[in-house]
Amino acid sequence: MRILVIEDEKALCEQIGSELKDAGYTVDLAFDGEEGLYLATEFPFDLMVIDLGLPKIPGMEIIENLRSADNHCPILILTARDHWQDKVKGLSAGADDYLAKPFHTEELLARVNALIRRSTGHSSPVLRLGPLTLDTLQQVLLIAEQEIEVTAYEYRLMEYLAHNSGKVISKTELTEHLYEQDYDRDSNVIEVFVGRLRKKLDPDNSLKPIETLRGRGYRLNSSWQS
Amino acid sequence: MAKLIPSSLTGRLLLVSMVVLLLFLPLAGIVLEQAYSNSLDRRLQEQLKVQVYGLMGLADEIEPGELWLPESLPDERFNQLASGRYAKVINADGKLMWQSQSSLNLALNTVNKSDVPGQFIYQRLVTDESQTLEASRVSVIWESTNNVEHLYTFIVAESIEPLLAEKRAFRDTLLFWLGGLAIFLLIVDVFALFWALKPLKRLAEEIRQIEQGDIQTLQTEYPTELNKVAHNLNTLIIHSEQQRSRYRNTLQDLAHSLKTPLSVLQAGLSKIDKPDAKEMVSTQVSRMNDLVRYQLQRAVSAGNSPIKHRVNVSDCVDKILAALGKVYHDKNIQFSNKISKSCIFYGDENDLLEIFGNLCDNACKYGQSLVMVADEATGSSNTICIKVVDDGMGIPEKQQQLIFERGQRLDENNEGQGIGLSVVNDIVSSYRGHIDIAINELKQNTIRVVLPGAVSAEPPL
Repeated sequence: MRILVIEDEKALCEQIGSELKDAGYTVDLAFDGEEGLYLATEFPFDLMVIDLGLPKIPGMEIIENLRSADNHCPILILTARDHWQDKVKGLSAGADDYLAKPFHTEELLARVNALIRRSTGHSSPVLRLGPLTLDTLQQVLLIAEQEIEVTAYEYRLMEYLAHNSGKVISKTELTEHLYEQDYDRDSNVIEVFVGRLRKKLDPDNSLKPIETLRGRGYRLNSSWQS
Repeated sequence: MAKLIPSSLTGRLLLVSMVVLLLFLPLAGIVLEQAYSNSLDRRLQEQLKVQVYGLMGLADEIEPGELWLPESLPDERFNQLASGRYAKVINADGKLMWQSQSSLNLALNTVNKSDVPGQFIYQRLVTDESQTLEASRVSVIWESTNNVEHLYTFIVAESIEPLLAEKRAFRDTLLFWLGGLAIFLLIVDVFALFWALKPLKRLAEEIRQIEQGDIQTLQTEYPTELNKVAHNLNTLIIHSEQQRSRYRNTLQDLAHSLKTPLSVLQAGLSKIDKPDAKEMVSTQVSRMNDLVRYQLQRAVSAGNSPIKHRVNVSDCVDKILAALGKVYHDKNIQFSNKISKSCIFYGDENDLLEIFGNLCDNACKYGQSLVMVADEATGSSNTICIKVVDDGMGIPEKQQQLIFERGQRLDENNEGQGIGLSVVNDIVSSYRGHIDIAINELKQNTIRVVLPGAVSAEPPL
């Protein structure tokens, strides 16, 4: 899950970025409205955290721009102006939730998690798909109630597939959602991750958790339904 | 003395014009009546004089000392008894020489020895029959044929009854016309006053409308004198609005610039290892945040401003519920806004958003699946009552008092709850409103807010 954070206070932006990374998200940072709008329009994000008081292009304008361009990515607004006037304005411009500064990190993570779940149509933070259980809050992956040790990237890949269960996800899409903008992309890495995950989740090759659709991409086992 | 002076301009001007009318018209009446009466008196005296000369013309001495006049005179009134016009001629010894037939039983002894011959003397007499007469007499020296001079006094008297009647008639006419004039002047005066003071009333009415938020600025189609005042007032109103808006923005910028470092502090807490220090910083950060928010809201609330706007409550609550619908999407809350479309709040829209934003947010936080906002009758034409109902646990009675006090938090886990309600309480108080918490018959948590406003009969366009 890839998140864009647009916040002009560099220290705060980096703190939010590092908290989100620790929570298992892929994070891109932008320190002003112009850079933020560029990233938001050029790359696919699963969520955006946007501060309303931004230099160059105000947060509200970014939201309006994205929504008028038919971009439905969930948006969480951060605002130091916690008056209802600003909240109502932001939410009616197209944001999905707000968080008033200063906020507790836990609150931010909970809202981010809830918004991503909502956008992918899941109501619980714990995703259950066939024998697979993903606790998105704890970042724990279980197969048949057995916890499986996975790396952060492996977890992210699995979570993305689980959130988009039933859909075929191309390697490019996976790369875009798992890595930051300036990461040196190599599609082989995805193949390596998928291979490793198959071994970890399904050592005896009976469950077939990840299906490969030649030339199209990967899909979570289509018989696994929530 | 002060009580006698009316406090209104209309009263003062009316008083002055009434005093002028009351002094001027009777005085004019008296002067006119006096002048007319004098002229009538003089006319009568002239007539008497003419009569005397007439008698003299007719008189002749038949022998020395014996003056003769015809029994009947050409003027019929001299010939009829008690006709009101009388004549006598008396000699120097007071002996009656002649008298008209009309004055047979009448004593007209007005002769005075000191009369200067040739000089007319006028006198008012009352007869035995209580008739008032105006008498004129003149003594003349008659030179007889034997060159002896004899003194005769000619007396002509006339009843003043017709004169009095004429005076009365004049007085009545005068009274009628002056009274009519007084009433007419008074009506014109009152009309002129209302006409002249109408722009002032309009100004007062427009200022009241500005206070109630019906209009934003005064019209400038006033008479020259008031136009300047209206223009200055407009400048003042616009300036005050701009000042308020500048003030609000500056304070919000200040709050914004304070909160960003607070956010950095708060977010940096995870890097602090000592739990004690972490707890302390967290508490202080949250305290500073509450203080900034609370004081900011107090400072920018427009409750004390004399200039109000008309805010449609239902539209405002719609905005809030739409926003909260997004925020509490996962809770599947059923929102309903039953506020009448014609319910108007007199005040600032931001304040209304703040009140119902906080109340509805709390309702969403604590309610299970229902948040309802509706208006209630207040029994007063200048207040509105809005209730926010949720199906939550309700606030325990003991804590209901505490909840509105500044900084009281019922539940530390629900961020901003305590401060939110004390902010609401503060705004409501600044509008001299009222807020109370109750549990309704369906065991639902109800917060009722009474604010200045009105439910107009016709929904606004």
